[in-house]
Amino acid sequence: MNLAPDLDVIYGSTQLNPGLLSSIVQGLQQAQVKGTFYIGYPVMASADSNTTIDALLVSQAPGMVAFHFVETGENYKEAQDRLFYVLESNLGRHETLRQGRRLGVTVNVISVFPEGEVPTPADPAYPAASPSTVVAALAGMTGIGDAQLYRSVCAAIQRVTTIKPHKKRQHVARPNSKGSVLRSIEKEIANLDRWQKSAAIETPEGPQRIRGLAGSGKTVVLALKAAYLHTQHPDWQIAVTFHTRTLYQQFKDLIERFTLEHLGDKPDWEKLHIVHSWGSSSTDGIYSLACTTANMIPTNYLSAKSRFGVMRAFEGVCNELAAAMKGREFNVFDAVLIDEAQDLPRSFFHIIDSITKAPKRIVWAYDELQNLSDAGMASTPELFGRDIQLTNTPGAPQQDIILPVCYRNTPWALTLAHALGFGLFREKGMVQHFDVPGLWMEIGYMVEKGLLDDGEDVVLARGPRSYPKFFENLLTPADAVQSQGFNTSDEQYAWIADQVAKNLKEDELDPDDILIVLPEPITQRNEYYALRRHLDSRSIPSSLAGVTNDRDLFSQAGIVTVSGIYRAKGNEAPMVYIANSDFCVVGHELIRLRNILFTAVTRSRAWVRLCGVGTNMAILQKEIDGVVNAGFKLAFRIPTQQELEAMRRINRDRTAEEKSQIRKAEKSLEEVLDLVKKGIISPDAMPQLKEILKAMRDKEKPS
Amino acid sequence: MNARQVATMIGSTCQDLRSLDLTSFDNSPCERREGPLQRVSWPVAGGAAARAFPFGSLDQYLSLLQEGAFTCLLFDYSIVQASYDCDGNNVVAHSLLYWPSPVAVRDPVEDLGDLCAAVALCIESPSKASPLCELSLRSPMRFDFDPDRADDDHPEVHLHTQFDDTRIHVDRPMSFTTFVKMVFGTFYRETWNSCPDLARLHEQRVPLMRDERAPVNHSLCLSWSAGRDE
Repeated sequence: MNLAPDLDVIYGSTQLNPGLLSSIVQGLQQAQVKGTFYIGYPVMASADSNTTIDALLVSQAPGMVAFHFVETGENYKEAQDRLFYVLESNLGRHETLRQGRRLGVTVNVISVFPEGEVPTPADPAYPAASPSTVVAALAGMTGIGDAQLYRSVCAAIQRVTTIKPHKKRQHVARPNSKGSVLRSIEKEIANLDRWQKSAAIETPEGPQRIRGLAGSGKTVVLALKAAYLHTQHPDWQIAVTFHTRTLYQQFKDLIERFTLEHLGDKPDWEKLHIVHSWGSSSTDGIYSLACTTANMIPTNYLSAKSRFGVMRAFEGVCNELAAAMKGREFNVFDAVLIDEAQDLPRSFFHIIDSITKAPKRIVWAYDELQNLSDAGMASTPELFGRDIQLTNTPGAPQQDIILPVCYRNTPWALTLAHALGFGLFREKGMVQHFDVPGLWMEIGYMVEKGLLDDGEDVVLARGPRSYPKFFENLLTPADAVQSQGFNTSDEQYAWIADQVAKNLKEDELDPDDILIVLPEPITQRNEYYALRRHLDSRSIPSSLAGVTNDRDLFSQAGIVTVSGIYRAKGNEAPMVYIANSDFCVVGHELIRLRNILFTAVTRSRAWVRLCGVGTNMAILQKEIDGVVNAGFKLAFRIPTQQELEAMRRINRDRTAEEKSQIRKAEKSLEEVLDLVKKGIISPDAMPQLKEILKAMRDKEKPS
Repeated sequence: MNARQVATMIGSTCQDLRSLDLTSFDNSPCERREGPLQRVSWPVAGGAAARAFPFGSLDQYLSLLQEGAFTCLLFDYSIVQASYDCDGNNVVAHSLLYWPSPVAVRDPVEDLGDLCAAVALCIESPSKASPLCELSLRSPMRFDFDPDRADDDHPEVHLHTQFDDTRIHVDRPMSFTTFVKMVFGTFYRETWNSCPDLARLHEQRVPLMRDERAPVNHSLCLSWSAGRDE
């Protein structure tokens, strides 16, 4: 992973000659220009029409330069004036870019003529050049000296100035309180990194995969992409879909804001559809829309749940629909953007394939480690049921993009999440690992020691540019990540309630800055009430997301959110308490349990507290201490392919039949143990017991 | 009673009902400032949500569920809402809603989302929803203690039922526990008789702010008071 290229080149939608563009890009690279060269981007609105800038260079030197490629017979001076005004008026809307009454940054415009057609004599007010002289002609442009101003220009061009309306946090009075730290974090100017820029703006004529860590900006990137495609192709039918219902509002807000920045107007919701993967009785989803298209009656959630079970309800209905649509093309959408693809069944992709027009602009973003189901993320051919290769060709939009920078989590929390998710410090050995060890580098780790190869020892650490610097400036690892073990659940809940009370009273956090995660889905309601007793007694209002309020709501102002792990996915909070972390330590389906832990830890934007009870928590704390004592470096041996296979076999999710067999076996063993304790059975009289012990010892021996 | 005491009373009554398996979900009582007063209600903005829609419509019931705008949902998904305004140590207003579930759900639901989905389906097409639930329409009842607006046509404590502008004189304000006991004692006789712990729930008295007014002429008058079963 090259983390510091001089010039990022972003290929938006353009009809320009690729050879011509390539020669300019080479010229800029040879001149060692640092910045971003956007092609076919941005689109800017004026009072009369929308203008797509042919190419735009954003750099500190030679500054911001709009390139206009002159067509035969065109009045280039008028074109330059138009470009200048549209850029100046658009940028002038940003307070951070104004100095007094004028724009604080110079808008340079240059016209590029075919070789030998540059007008003479030159008019200094209207720079003009040919492809071979254009880079030299940039020498006379006005740059952007101030680094802060440059960041603000980047944010404005990338349309991300309004990514999040920041909380005012007016009650924050103490300079070093957690509330004050959060205020500083939220004030940081958002700029897209080079991978996010590519992912947001580049759209190949075919499928595109975006892989990214939790908090790497997948949702923002997809929202930007939807707004950009909608602006570029207002007649396209575009769908944005996702698994977690609470993402709807987030997508709607982001897309509305981004489109407003591009077009100066709201999106046309008849063309741009934000739809849940399934839908509900009152709102369309991709599934219900596809059913209507294929003349099928959609199955509602409650019926599906009773037919296929809670965990497989959506998969069940998608399988039925995909089978009915197989081999048929319905041509509904020109582009489909899918978030949280790791949570969607393969048959959902078959449905998407059927309803998307050629050339199948299907974009899917995912993070494999946030997969809480038993099915791993399928390969691209498996997803679509046909041979599709994703290729990244230089000079063309990329088809396979990894977002390696994590903006949500502190580097310490993320490293801990990976260590616990994979079980890297687990006494009984690793639980899971990437198929391809090189992926560690692509998600922002660097090799400190050893080799990233099968069977090799390696030491990994977060790369210095894989997280924003403000984390190191504002937080410490000791405060960002903490764990706490308890003897009883009640003690644990009392401690959490005390800490939350302290967060609210002394640390100047708001109730909705706090999220308490309950990892075990089955017991979450009872556990919530047990916890709430302590919160209520300290006058701390709380809600159990999706259970004591609607499933589309997650957090509410003035209320501490308690959430089960499924509901917490796709959401985040500055302060996260994970109660009953011990649930994820021992079990038959360790991959799922460890993924739950990974997902829970990666909900935190600043601080995470892992709490739990009993000996299992002590085991987990050993793992946590291992990571902390190693200075958040991951030292381990990369498993071989055979070892990986064995891990998957042992730790995979079990089928319903296997679960039933396990339950029976556990019950029988309990009965035997009880009889042995009561002296009704003598162990000597049951040779099977010795055989069981021997078989277990053999299994535990390292291979 | 101050706001803290009211919140504690609501919380502990909900806990009691939960331990008796009489509720499906309950919310944390939430205190917040409303002008010079302290309001205790469920944890959403407002506290007057029930008044913002056509009184007693199915959409209104669904909307309360979706917003989590309730103190607790009884075992049959009837809504119980309690909102109290306190001025120092005095309760100066209350709104206590009992809304018998307008939908009879065949199998218990796991979360509120499932219930909302069932109700929404029932509103859209009762026949489509029939394997899951069926309509069972009954009027909500809201007991308001609203001394600020009291006059000869507006009893200080009154019951809204059937229509939003119907106000049946009620003899005195109620604590949350009293209200819950009245609901069970009146509308769930079987449960009341089979669950003696309900009658033992401790009630506190909410005093009137001033002398009682006479009932409105030609109007029904209720005498639901604490200690009926004492």
